Amino acid sequence: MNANFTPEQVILFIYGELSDEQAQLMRKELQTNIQLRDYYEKEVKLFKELDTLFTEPNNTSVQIILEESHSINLETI
Amino acid sequence: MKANQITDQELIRHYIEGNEACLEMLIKRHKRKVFTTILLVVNDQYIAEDIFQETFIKVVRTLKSGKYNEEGKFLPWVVRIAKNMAIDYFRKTKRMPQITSSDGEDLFRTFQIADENREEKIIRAQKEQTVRDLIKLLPEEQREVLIMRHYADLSFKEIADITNVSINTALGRMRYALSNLRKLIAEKSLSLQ
Repeated sequence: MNANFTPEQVILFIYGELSDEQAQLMRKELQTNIQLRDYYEKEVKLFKELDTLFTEPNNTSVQIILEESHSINLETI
Repeated sequence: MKANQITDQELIRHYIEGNEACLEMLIKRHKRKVFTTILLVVNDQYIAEDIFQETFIKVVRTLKSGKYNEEGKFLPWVVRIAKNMAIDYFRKTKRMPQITSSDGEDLFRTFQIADENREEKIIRAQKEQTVRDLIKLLPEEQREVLIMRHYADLSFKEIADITNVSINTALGRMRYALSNLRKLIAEKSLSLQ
């Protein structure tokens, strides 16, 4: 892909875990390095597909937790 | 101060001091990540709801008993509890995770797709099922890292701590998980667009 960046670093970049300095270099490289950009775009596309699985719990579940919290008697713990 | 500007630690402190609304804010902030993580581990919507409830009830009891260690971050702690709850569930029932039928799932998701027509709804459900099935095909260690990084939103450092491996190992597993997912998509000639 590029001698300066590994696939692991691309993953860290997408998740915002790359250092500021490295992220800056990555952004610059992405503007000119077609191979790196191609890999990056494939990863981003896959991440978007993974995002489709995000699901929220039923509101009833949340209510049960909140009611449980209200009902707990501190002295009994 | 706006709710999203308050840190988890501040919400926890206010909750322990008696402000019940802070618990609701904590749950609202993290429920999507925690629930999706549980669902991808147990692959059953109903069981996931139960484990989600049990997880946060344990959180509530721990916080109210004053046993919470503030040195740790809240979300990784909750995910760790959820993971242990899921393992306990499979240990008790001696059953392996199964895919929930799409019918069962639709009951819970009606509110999200009310505006979609039937065809769009079916296509979307099939696509989601495909992605879920592909994740299920990954080796356990890779699947675990993928779920914790992408869905639970834990950093690689936090994942490394939870799974007792180095950050590089966690990162390597994530790389292979993504690479394998792409291969599986290609092998099955699937288009996820």
